[in-house]
Amino acid sequence: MKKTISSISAVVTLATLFMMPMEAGAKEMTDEEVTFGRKAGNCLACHMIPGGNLPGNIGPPLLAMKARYPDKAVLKAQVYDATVRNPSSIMPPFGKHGILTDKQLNQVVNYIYSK
Amino acid sequence: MKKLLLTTLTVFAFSAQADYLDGAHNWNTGSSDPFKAAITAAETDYATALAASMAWRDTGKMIKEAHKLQTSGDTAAALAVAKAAHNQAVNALSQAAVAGSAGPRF
Amino acid sequence: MKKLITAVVSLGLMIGTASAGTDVDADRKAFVGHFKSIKPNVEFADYTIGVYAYDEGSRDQFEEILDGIPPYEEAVEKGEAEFEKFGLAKCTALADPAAARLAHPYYDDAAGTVVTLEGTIRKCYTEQTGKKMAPMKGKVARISAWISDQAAGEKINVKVESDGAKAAYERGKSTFYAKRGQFNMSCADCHVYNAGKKARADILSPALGHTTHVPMYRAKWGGIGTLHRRYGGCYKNMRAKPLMAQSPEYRDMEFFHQAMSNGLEISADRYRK
Repeated sequence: MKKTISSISAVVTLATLFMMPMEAGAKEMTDEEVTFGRKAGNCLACHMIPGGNLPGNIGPPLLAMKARYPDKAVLKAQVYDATVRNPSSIMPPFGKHGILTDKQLNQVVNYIYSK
Repeated sequence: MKKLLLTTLTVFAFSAQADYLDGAHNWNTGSSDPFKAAITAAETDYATALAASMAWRDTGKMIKEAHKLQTSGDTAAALAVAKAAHNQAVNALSQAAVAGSAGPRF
Repeated sequence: MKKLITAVVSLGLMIGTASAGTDVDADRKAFVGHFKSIKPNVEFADYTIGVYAYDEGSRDQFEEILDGIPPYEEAVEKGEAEFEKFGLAKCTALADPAAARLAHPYYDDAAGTVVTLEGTIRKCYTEQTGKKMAPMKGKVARISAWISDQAAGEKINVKVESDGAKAAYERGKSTFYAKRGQFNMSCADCHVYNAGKKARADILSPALGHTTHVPMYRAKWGGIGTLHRRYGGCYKNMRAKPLMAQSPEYRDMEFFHQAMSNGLEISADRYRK
């Protein structure tokens, strides 16, 4: 029993340590930080974005987004859940799966829309 | 071993909720308690996702966190985390529903 | 509850119907064909070195590491000593180590389950010592690596014959192709469809050939680990809850995963980034 209690408190402590800085950090992050941050959008993992270092090339470069998405809401919908348009898309459904908050989604969309 | 620990933790979590916390804090006696509804839904669907081997990494941690927040009196945050955990479990079950028929595209 | 019942029932249906149309060799040819189409200049036999067949710079580094004293050499030697010390040669299934590597994984019709090399090592260890062996790293990985070294140069040849074997193979195949976790990605999303592409600076390794050099030494781990340890790591990266190493699901997936590399040489060069 003692062991169980100590495991629980360990888990709780860990969870607290994990969640607190994330929440606190998220509030202050700039659009660029949310887009580039490995623990946030991490868009560079797969996409080239002007100004970002060491981009991956799994997805298309995020260039000329205004021309490609005249309607900004369509771009946001794509980031929210790319599997609507392509069920086999490798892109994580950032909004639907709660990877980013709605505020963070808007930040990412604003940032890449300026590129 | 992990499974045993997990089971123990789960059982402990449930019994703690039922016997100890209830009596001490008396916070979930009402049947319309939105936290209780959300956390029960999260726990039920998470258990199903676990049984299908399709659970997500953080759902269990979030369920524990929600309980902890609720006990500490931060009911708004507790409800938000419980709902987020439930949302995770629901999405995991949607994946599980199509996992069995997954195959190559070539 | 209803959902659970539906899930269980549909799983049951799948097991029942899966084996009817199973053609492992056709699957394997399509799998190899896919890699040929995305990387027309890479020779089939080169998939035994995996990602290093894709990128010259990384291959040079890899060969430099092999030319020196590879960081896993000591562990593999220790694996040999442990094989002797625990008397594992007394188990029929391990008496001839090279043959043991080639015979695994296989489907045991009597037990109705896939048997992996690590499973056999752990079972034998318990028979000989009365103790249990952890399934992901340490002894099991060292011993399995040494056993696999004895079959270096031989070709992987997983056999999927009985109906039970075919059903296990189909289950493993759907586990491999199913999207999971918060990131909604399958093993195949990275290691089949996007093999050779870059995630940040890392080149995604091709699933073809993955099982030729397991257990592997990973710089990231600073040690050697089993294939199932790697499965768990991948699950976590996709924000899915990892399953236990040697769980039935991972054994089924290994059965499929190894069968896709049939015809590739087993390698003792077990270094990976």
